[in-house]
Amino acid sequence: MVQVRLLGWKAAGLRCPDHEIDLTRAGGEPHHVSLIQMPNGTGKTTTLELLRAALSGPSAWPDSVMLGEYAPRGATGRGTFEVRLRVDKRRFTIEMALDFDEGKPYYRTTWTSSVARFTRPPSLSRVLTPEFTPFFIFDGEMAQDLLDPKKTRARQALEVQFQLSNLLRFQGYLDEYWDEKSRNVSAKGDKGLTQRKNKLADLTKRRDRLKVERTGLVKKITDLEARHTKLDAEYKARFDQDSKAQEEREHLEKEFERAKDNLATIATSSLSEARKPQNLSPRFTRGLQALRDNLDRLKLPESAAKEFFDELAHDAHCVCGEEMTEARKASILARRQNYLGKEDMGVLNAIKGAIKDMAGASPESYREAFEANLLRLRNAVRERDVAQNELASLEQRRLAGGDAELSTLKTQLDDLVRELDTARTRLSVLDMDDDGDQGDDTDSIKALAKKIKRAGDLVAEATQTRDIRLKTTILKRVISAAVTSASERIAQELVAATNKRLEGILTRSPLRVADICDSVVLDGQTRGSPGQTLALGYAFLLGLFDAGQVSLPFVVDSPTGALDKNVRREIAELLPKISQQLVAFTTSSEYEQFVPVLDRAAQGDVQYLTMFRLNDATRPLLDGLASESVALSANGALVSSKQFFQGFDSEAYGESQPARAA
Amino acid sequence: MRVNENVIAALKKAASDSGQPKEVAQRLVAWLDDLATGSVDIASQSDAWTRIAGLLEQVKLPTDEAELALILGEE
Amino acid sequence: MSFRLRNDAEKWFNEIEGELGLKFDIYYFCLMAGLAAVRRSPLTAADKPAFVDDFPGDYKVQQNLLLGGLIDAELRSQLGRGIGNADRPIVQKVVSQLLTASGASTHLSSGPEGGATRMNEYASGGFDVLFEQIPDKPRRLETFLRSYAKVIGDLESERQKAEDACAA
Repeated sequence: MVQVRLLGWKAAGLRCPDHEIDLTRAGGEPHHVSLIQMPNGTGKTTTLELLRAALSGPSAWPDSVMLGEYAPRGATGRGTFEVRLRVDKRRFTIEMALDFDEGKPYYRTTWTSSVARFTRPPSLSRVLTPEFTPFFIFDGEMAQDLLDPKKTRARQALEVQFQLSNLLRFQGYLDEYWDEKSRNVSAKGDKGLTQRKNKLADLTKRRDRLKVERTGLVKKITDLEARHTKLDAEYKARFDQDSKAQEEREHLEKEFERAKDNLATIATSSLSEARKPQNLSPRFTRGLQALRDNLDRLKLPESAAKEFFDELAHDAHCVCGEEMTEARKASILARRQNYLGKEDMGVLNAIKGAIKDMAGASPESYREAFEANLLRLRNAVRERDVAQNELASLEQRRLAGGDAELSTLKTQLDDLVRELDTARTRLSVLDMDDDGDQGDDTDSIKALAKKIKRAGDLVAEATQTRDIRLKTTILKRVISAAVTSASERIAQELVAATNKRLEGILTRSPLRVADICDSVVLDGQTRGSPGQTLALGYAFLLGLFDAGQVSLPFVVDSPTGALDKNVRREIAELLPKISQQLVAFTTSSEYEQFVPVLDRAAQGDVQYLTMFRLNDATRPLLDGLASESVALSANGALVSSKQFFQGFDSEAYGESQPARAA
Repeated sequence: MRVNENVIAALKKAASDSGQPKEVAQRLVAWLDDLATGSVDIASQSDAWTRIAGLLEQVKLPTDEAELALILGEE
Repeated sequence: MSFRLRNDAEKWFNEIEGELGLKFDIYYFCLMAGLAAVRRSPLTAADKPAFVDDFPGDYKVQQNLLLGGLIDAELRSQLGRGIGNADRPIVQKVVSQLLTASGASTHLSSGPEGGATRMNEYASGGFDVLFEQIPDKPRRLETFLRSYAKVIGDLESERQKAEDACAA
């Protein structure tokens, strides 16, 4: 069990008077009970809250507005609050500085060494948190709150102490993780995956169907071509039965082939000529020639290159013979900008040379030669067309001769050619390249292949996303189930431990806890006496600390608060019994029926401290006090004396509570 | 101040009840343990996500499609 | 980045691409039309990346003429007229902006203002011109060559008329 003791604290430049509290006895051990009496308005609540914040670390300060509330009236700069603890045998110090100008808290902790941040001993990492400090630094209402079914203090305490709150936070992280992973994914649910799968299946089905069609088409085309060859041969054989027609056909076909070859040759040569820009456009050629002339006129490329000026500028002396100055150097380098680099000059010279060599003649001459070429091309086209027409008319004449079989063969041949054309056209559609803008109903097998790949990727993505969804859901379910069952078991153990402790404390009329749900639930009766309630609250918290293997001090504001005087007595007897160290803030109104009983119960190990603001009304109180029992600060006084404590009427020196910023 | 035995037992049982391998519970306990010793901070999202990525690898999905749909339907 | 062709241009020429032998032929026909009409238009990210990095085949011989044509077109576009005696700085500027000796083997500089981009823009503008002037996509090389030569001729006389009108 880790023993944690509060040794004292020090406040300066804050809303409460500057003060330093030392809770230790001569040997360095803290008193069993320390009572700190303060008039209202001295900053009792503020001190308690600062203590809690210092022990909780920077996350206790959600915003700068809240921080500003701890500044002394009208003050800026920094306030500091230092807490000294003992953890087992070692000192642990927390310094908290509140910068009111920046609105930021600064922490420095000293454990193994002094570091400028909030570093807790690992054994206290769950205890020194904003969630948990309210369970050992609290006001008189705390015990009541633990029993209040409308509040969930008991559950909170349990969740923090047993890390169930961490498990619940894991669930939050799982949600955040899922959000992040699915942020850029369009299909998040099962529905999206199904849609994507369907699309992939549709595309694949379509592609497979088209592939089957293509195989059929290729075979069909091969068959048709074979039939065509055969039928064409039959047709020609029949055609050639007229020997004169045969002679003419052979001649014309030869002529047609020659014309086609001629056209192909001329077309190739025309293309080759067209690739020379000077042939296409006299204007272009004229432009080139003018460019060359103008470059010459402008002396471009110049005889000097950029590099020449670099050399000049870096010489020890200027070309004029004078010494090289920064101004001269700058002036030379500025001129450099107007010149081309050596290599650029080379390119420009090559261009000029090419214009002279390849396009130096009269611009029109190139185009004229090209026109002549195009004219030859036109003639070759005509020649081919003529040959084709003559062949067609020979066929017409032969068919008109009344050979029925020839006509039939011709009709069959024409049908076959049409069929072949249709099949070839369809094949070209299936073999079409993917130009990227086809829809899902495209007949291009290549385009479909790409679409299938893309759809497959999307399915994989959606599958992965769905798996993350499923797995995070399963994990959240595991965590929820574990939290529920762990809560139940822990609650049972805590109930047993609390009841055992209560038996020891409330010997006369023991109170029993039945269950711990959101709040502590009593056995049988719904309410105990205020004293019983307080005892129960403390017993519950101690059980909680025990389970966490840590013994903590209790720091309580007005432990008996608004309670009846009879009850105070009961509580005063109880408090020293249930706590290893108790620090209580009180006012004189709580004194009666409380302090003397407490003193007795703690067997005299009680420290009496009285703190008040220094002003004209309180200054006379210091008269006649032994100087060693008084500690003065700029705005406050702390008196350590049982006698002074007993005689002090805190209500007489109370101040109205200064208004706080909302 | 390590992880409470009740919490460890509850995680183990919940994992096995959901048909998950014991590594799932072990990893969750290790996470709590690291938080308890102060090795990591609960506020560290990057640590949390690394751990979650590791945890998800351990999680087994039911093979039955109907069961999967049921899990997603819960959300 | 070197020569880029618009997707629609490639598609428009696809029936004679086989007869042409070089994809650069398509680019060249577009470029010459763009230079003749002095028309540029930008390509978009949707257009395919460069199809070739250097002047291929026969075109390597024509490289310097095409570079000269680009410089001429760019100077005309910036000056709005022929080059005068005082234009030395602008000529130097245009030349160093469009050309690079040490970069690509095309000697066209890269970057958004560089020679490669500029030439691609003329080719793109030229395709717009061809598409407007030739009603049907080309189906036979022999027919296309003649209609293409005619379009270039027409564009020239049009430009000439416009320049004469300006000068008058």
